[in-house]
Amino acid sequence: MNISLAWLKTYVDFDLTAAELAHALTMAGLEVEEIGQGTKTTFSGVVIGEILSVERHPNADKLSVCSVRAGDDVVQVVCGAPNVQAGVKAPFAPVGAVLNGNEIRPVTLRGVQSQGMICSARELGLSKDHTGIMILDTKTAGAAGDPFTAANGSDDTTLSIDITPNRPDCLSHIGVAREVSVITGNPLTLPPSGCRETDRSVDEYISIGIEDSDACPRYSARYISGVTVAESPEWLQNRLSSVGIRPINNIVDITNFVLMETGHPLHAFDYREIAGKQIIVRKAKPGEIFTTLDDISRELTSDDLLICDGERPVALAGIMGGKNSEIGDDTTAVLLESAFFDPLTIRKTAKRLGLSTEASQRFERGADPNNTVYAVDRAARLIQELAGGTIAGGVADAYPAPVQPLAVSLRLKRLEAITGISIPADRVRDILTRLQLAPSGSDPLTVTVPTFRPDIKREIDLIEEVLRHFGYNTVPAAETILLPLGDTRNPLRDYTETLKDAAAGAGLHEVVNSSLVPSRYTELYVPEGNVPAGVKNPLNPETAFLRTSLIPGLLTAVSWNINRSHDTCRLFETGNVFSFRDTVSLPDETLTFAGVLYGRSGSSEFWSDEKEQVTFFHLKGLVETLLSRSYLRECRFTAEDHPLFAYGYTITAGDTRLGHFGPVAQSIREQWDIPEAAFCFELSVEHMLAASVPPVSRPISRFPAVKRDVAFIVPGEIPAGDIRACILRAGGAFLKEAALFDQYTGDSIPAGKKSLAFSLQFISPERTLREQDVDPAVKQIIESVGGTFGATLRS
Amino acid sequence: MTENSLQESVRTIRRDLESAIAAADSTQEIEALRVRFLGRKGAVSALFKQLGSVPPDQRKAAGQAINDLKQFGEDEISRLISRHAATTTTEAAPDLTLPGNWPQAGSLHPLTLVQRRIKTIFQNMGFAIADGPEIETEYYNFEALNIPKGHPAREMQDTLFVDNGFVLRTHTSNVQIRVMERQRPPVRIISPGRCFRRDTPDATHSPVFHQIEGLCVDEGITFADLRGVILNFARQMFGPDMKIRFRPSYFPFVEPGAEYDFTCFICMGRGCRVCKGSGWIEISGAGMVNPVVFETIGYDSERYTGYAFGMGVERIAMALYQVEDIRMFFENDLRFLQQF
Repeated sequence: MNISLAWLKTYVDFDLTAAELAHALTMAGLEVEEIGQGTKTTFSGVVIGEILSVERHPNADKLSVCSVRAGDDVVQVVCGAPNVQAGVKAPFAPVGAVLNGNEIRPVTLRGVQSQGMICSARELGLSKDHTGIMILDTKTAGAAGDPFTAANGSDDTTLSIDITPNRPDCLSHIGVAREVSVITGNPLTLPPSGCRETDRSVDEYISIGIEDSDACPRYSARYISGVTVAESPEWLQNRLSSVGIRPINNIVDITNFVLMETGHPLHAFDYREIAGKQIIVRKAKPGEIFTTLDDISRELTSDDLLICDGERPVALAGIMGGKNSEIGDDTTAVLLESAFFDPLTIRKTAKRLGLSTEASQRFERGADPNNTVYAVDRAARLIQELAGGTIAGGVADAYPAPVQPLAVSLRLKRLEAITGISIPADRVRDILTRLQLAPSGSDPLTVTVPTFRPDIKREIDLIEEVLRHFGYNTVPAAETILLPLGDTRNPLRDYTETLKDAAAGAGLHEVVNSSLVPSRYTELYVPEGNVPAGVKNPLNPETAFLRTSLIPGLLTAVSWNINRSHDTCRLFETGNVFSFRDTVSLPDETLTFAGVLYGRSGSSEFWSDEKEQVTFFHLKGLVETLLSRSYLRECRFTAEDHPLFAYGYTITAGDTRLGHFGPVAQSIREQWDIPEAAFCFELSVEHMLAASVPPVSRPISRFPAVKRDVAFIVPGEIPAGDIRACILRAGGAFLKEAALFDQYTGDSIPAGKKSLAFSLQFISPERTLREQDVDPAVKQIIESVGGTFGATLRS
Repeated sequence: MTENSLQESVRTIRRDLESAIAAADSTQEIEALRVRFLGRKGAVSALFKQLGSVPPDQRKAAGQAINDLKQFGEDEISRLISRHAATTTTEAAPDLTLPGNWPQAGSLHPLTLVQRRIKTIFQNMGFAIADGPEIETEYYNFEALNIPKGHPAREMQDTLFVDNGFVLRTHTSNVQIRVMERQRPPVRIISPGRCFRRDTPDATHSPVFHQIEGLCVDEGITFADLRGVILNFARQMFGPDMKIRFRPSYFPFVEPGAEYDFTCFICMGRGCRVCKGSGWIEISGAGMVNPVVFETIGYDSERYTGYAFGMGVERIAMALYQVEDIRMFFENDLRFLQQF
């Protein structure tokens, strides 16, 4: 909402500067976003020019050649305005200035050079006045060369205020003035609305029928004949321009002026076009077509409300008038509408049609049903003043069920219980009274809430009103708090933080990706039996689904960094993935932990190292490390296909599936333009937490371990893990560990075979082991592995 | 050989040893003198060999003398070795400007770092951490928060709708309702989490962002308590000179409703580019829980009062780390991430 300070001052006096007023309003909840100079200008680079001399153009009767001083420069300008004269100051657009998007250039007019343009008000977009240049008051205009702003023309400042949707009353100068009157303590003066009426009653000209009084609780109208449609006087044009409304003609300008003044939307019909001397308010028929003022034909539904005459619709109620009945230059009789419409009805139609107007914005938030007559009277009075004409007697007013002001009580003790401070009763009463919320009684106060404040329905609303003007910042900050004891832990959160620390500790960088992804990501993977969750109104197709896996996002991050000259990425992310199990319940939201390895291995980054790319075994090692750091020591890896991986493992702990890992399938890498191998893991955090076993310490043997190395030559296809398992089974009670330390194929090994070397560790918690304890165990191992796999001992 | 002549030899060797030790100043020399005196074919060994020729009754004293010499030699040489090692470098220093070798550390995302700090501060004030779904019913995201269908406030937050009639939550305030439904007062929670709005991304807007919302409900909770907790948070987060400012505003689930600001933590209130000269940084919304909300979930709104507040994690992280564009948090550029 744009508020002109000069306009505001006609209803309430204040001696605050614009900045002080802006601050005071902001601290009362009317957030001033911008302090502007008059209108939003359509020009730039315009300065104040002093016209030093004016001579006749040698080759044209209607042109003059002027010398204009703008700062230190004096330039020659050709001007066509009849009112140009030496000694005056006027807005001057020098070469380089921009008017309505057009840059001023040096030109030659009938053989005389012109270095700029002396401007009319219309050329500056300040009014429609194009009778001559805009001559400025020599005393108040700045020095020649100073920047010219709209304020130089209108001597006004505007505040752009962000009015919260609960305050429709503040979408007007009077509404804001009411707030200013509370801030300053100065009285609010409402503008006069009395009209001189003729003896002929309005009923002779119009009858009003409301078919849907829920959608239109009130419809008031006045009839004015004998008007002369013309341009509005300059003061009115300036008022409208100052708040960003384009002047059109006196009748329309007055309805807009009263809208901006009172907040009540009005509409003027050309009475000639109203058939049958009647107004019918009804719902549209499904598919009914209506052409609004903006010349767009709109198809309506039975939810939309129409204002009709005896034959056809003439306005889309509360939103926009019809093309068929708009005020023209030759209009002589006017029907002025001032109605009250149901906010939801207007809102639905405006939203569906994507048509938001000054009127619809106010009706949607809630206009005042008891203000229709004041607004229409005020407008009729101004029309008579500015456009002449006679006003028929009375207001045609259909108001079947008048809305009564609410009575709301306010307990001072409750005020204190909410605010934490004691506000003197006098001050409470004073604030409410200035807000025109009439309080009576002592405690509780009974407050009569006028209908222009639809936001105030309960005691708590009054408490806010009082505190808002008493000052939120007068309430001291409590220095202690009462602390109820209770369980403040959140195991899933805590565990997630443990995972993040483990991943960062393992050299991974945490990333955060959007949850919104394109369908080509969700098509890659959805948990079996589920379907992806789609967004109904996405900003674009790239954000039309909720992610079903973190891996596509990680690959996007890898790709982003590859394109920025990073040859290595080690990344992880935690976040929810989504998919629907059925169509009635909320979707599954699975907190997921995933990572990617790409490029060089973490142990080969030193300048002297062999450069080594990450391999599957780096990934496996990383996964093992992360599982072990997050209290999951007993996990099983089972080879299993996964749509994202070339091959890979499923990770389980007990019966719980934790996740999977593997090298990203080449076809998927190609989608992301990732040239080299990339390896990913993805785990369910909740499942990990459920399966995790917080560490409990076990005794360490005080006796030394005995180590033996054995190497087997085995058929190449036998998995090392099978050999190891066999060793552990056969190794007896003292065998603690069998760690593979070498796999070798080559010269000394027969074709089709490989050598696997294990380091065996024997230990007893009770005594130092001797040769004779270990030797039989080793022998048993050799026999068992030999018998099971046809393995021979490598000498 | 007599004991005397052997004792004489011991004294001579000891003098030689002392002067050799005094003269030695390199590892090689120390090693040489160790071999010369204490080695298998060294002077001390030679003395032991001569012990056989000493008459038996004198052998014990002579043996003792040689042992003393040996002990003396071993002590002195080992002292010399450690002295030498402490004062000299045995090899030339490498090119110290070559890069060091240690596996590169990973990093936590700045949003994680900021969320952790915020959570810790509120946990220390007795707030529990509560979670709720990111895809939510309209009831929890709107209706229960006093934002009925058709309410203008629904348009304040451009909502993303999901299949089957659900919404992506526009704030973490849904958690308020879910917690109050299952718990009687006192309630004291914060709910950190991801939120969604249908905003076109630009330097200050992201359709995906993170919020932390707080809620406290009990008997006797007032606006002054809200101000106390917010002020304490500001000071714990940004230092003891922080001031707070509340401006009346409108959120349907709180009343009186406010937006609150902190002293600009870049210029400490003097006015700078970040705070656009105002000296204040806008943080988020807060207020007293609207009694309508209590009535919806079945709390006695006369008996209980409470406050709620929100804060944007990105906004605080942007101010704290001087990040100029919110999109930096979601681009995942390693050059950015490695700074944290």
